[in-house]
Amino acid sequence: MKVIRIEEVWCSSCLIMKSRIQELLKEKNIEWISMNYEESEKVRKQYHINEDILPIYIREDTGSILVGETNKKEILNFFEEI
Amino acid sequence: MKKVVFYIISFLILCMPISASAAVSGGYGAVSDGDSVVIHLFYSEECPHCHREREWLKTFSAKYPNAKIKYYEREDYSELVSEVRNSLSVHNSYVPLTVIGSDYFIGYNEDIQKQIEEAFKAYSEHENYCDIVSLLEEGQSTKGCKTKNNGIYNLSSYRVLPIIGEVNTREVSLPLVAIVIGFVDGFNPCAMWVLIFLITMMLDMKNRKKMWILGLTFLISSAFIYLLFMVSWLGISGALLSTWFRYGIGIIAIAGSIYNLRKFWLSRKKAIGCEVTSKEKKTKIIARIEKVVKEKNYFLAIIGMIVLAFSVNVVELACSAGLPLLFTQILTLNQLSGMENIIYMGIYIFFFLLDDIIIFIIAMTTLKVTGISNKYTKYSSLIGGIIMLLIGILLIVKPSWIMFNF
Repeated sequence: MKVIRIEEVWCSSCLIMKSRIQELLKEKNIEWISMNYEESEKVRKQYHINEDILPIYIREDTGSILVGETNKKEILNFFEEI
Repeated sequence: MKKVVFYIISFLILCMPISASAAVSGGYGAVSDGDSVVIHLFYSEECPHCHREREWLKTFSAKYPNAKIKYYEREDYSELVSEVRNSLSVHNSYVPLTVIGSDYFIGYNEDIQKQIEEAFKAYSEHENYCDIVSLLEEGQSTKGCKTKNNGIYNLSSYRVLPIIGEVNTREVSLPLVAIVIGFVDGFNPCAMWVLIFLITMMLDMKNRKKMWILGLTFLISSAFIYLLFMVSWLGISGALLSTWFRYGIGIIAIAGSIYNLRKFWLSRKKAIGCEVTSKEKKTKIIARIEKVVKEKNYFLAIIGMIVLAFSVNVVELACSAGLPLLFTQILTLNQLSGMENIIYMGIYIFFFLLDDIIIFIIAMTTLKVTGISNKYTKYSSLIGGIIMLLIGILLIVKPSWIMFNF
């Protein structure tokens, strides 16, 4: 399962989400595609993402999007069925 | 949200001057001069404020027949002035210096006029109190008199607490203000991202000694520039001890609060996360950080880090100039000694940097970079906005409520 992760190395919310997701989805088989905000311009246009808040997660299979710092429930909902 | 409101209200309650009468035990010698209340004015011939106060005191004594005014030219009474200052723990040599009982007032403007009048009325209602200046003039001891400006006028700020005993809430309030405002200011995101990127770069280096040196250099330089700014501002506002200047700062504070509260309001429905703003500036700073971290010469790396910290924190000041500015204005109003100002600024800066220090230490010990949730940054705009609004209004309408040391 491929998930696009748009993040920046200086973004504290990206760090927090990374560690939350790691903790919750240890056994899940996910292929991460990481890119920074500039690199993700085409992707953001493709998925009609106007947000300028990071991190942004995009599931390639369903097209669902998760933006910013979210709680565990929202993370699990986003990643369900993987 | 409810917790945030609770903490704001608790902070407000702790910082407000307490106006109810307090049960303070004894300590006042019977030295008052019967029905009259003596106002002692130490002045200098070259001092224009002193002349204005002398003119005002003439009308004051006409208004209050029980007011007795005594004038002391600083040069002619230099020894007495010195003894009075020591006795009251006054750490500067400014004039005019007005003393009533154990209370003193430095400088002269409309606010101080009102305070002198209120203090005079408070002393008029007491028969026995220590008249510090009269005692010293007569060569008597002032032991047993409460000094350090906690006479009858400031009586109401004392509380007797179990176990601890007598506490002057005004003295407790200023460190608390430094801690709270410094802590709220620390959640400013403008420089936090720099520290996170810096730590990420340094962890990649795998040189722990260099990590500690560069990280500490960044933090210490950040503290220094903040201190430099606050000291400069303290000097400027101290030299411009005028009511209009205070009004100006109050208006700026209110404008700043509107900006912060609006920022919070607009961010309510937005996702919590990192805003992608000022990409070009960030790219330049990232390039500079990379250059510093990769520098092999320790000395050059340290210099590079100091310069980087200075430039980043100048931007940080622009982001949060409101709060440190307001805090230095509070220090100015309280007319503390140089050392006391430095101590309070130090407390402010420590709590301002506390989140950075925690992130740095965690990173250095666990070799993992962590971040502070942007949720706190969001609420810091709300809390910062409320603090600025409150202090801005008080500066204009009731500055005596933030004069903790009087």
